[in-house]
Amino acid sequence: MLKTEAISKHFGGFHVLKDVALNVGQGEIVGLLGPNGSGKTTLLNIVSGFLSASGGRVFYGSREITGMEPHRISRLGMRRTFQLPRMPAKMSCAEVLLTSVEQPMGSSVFSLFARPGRVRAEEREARRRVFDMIERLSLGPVADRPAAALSGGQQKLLALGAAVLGGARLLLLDEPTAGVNPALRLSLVDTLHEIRRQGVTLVVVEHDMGFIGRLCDRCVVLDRGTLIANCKPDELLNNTEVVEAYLGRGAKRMTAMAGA
Amino acid sequence: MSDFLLHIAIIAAIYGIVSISLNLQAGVSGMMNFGQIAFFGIGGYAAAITASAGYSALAGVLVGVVVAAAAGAVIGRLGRNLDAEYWAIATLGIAEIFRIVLINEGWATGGAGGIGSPVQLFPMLEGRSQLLAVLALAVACMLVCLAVAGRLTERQFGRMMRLLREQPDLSVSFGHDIVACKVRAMAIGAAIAALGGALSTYYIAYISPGDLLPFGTFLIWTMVIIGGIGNHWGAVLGAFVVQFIFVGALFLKDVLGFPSELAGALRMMIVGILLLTFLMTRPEGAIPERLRKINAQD
Repeated sequence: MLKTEAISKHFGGFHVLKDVALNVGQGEIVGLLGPNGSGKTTLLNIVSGFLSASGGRVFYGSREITGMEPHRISRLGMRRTFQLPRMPAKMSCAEVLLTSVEQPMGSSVFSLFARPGRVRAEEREARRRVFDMIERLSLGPVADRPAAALSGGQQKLLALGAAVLGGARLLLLDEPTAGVNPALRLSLVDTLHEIRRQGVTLVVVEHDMGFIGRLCDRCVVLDRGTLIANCKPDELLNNTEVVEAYLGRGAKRMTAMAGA
Repeated sequence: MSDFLLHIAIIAAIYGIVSISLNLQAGVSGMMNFGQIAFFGIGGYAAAITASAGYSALAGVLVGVVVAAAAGAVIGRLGRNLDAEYWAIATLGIAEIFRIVLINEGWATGGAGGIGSPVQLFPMLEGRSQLLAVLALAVACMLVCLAVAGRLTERQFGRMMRLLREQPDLSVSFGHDIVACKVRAMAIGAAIAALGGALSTYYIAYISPGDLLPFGTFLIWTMVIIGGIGNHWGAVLGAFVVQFIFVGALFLKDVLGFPSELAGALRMMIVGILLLTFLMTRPEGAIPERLRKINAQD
């Protein structure tokens, strides 16, 4: 579904990513982990086309998408969310969702004036899908509020809903639980599993280990731009390299001493 | 006196059209166009030049609208990689280049002295009935522009523009081609401004580079800002308010005992003060853009 070959990225002399090879199968939920500054978001930006790589190639399905413009990648069904979901202040939550539904008639200047009936019919169908999504994500009470006025967690949900409504087949989520309260995190796991059942593949950048354990089939861990682990979530804590990446060298010994 | 009022109303309606055109670009799509007066000029000069060559007003309007739309599309495309501030400076520069070309290409444009239009709107009418007919035409054009702008803004096309205005990255992640969006917004806005320019030239029977100074763009911006940026009715209201001030200044100078040559400075001062007052106390304008409610049913 998604494959990267030897992705590298440097800003000046600073190497953020070194030869990263990522492979995500159809229908998988893969967690992308790593300490702050390890290059997770940079990798996401490169895969989704928002940033160009210094080297390496990206494949989506059987197609090479290296260097493709980000809106074209999005149109192929690879949708992403942002770490900080910056939402518009002058559009409501429902309107943002409506904008994310592709409407070829409504976005064509010609059709707007030549075929107003078909534009309205298309929009009616889009609105129906929007309100289904609002209900699914329990955003009903805030549907008419300005999107920027939603809480951080609600904005994350809104961004997720928009990506799904936009026809995502591969979803790249950048810290979906940041700012989301613990109760909502649990229901988010269910929501994401349900999205997967509909045939969507997920790559999730995340720090919350509990969330990752419940959600992901597999984890890959980045440390200072290099992939250091590729394992099941419950094997993470037994991986010396991973523990050291997060807690520093000697951490394993200390945890062992603490246990003794 | 009432002929004078008719004249003011005609100019206000033409300003209204130009104000809507800038509102589509700046208010809806977030493009800081500081050269809008050039598109007005393209329409105005197309009208005068085609009229001098013996073509009808309809032909002149069509030429102006098409040329302006093409120019708008090119400028929108050229500036695709510029940030808003740099693009604003670029548009200001392009409008000035256009004005200087008009001054220097006298064989076609009449140079600094400007060019007259031998074609009149409603030549079969005279006096007040002609003024009334022109007013009806200008207001009708303005209402059509309002309807067109409204449909462009309220449907998916407008939602894409408004999202692009506020959150371009989100817009890209939704799969929207933001360069294409900007090019279309520029082309449509330019075409509407050109319609205003052509109407103005046919009505006044004259246009000159002096009508296309950067102050003209500043004036259109003032209309949009005090009326309510992002709201087309607000843009029209702003146009009428600014026009009212312009005329009011003529009377005010008599009341205050100012000499006539200071009337121009007085009106600029009043417009400037009004703009500052709005920017500081009510930046959203007299009729702010409202949050649109999306209903599940029609």
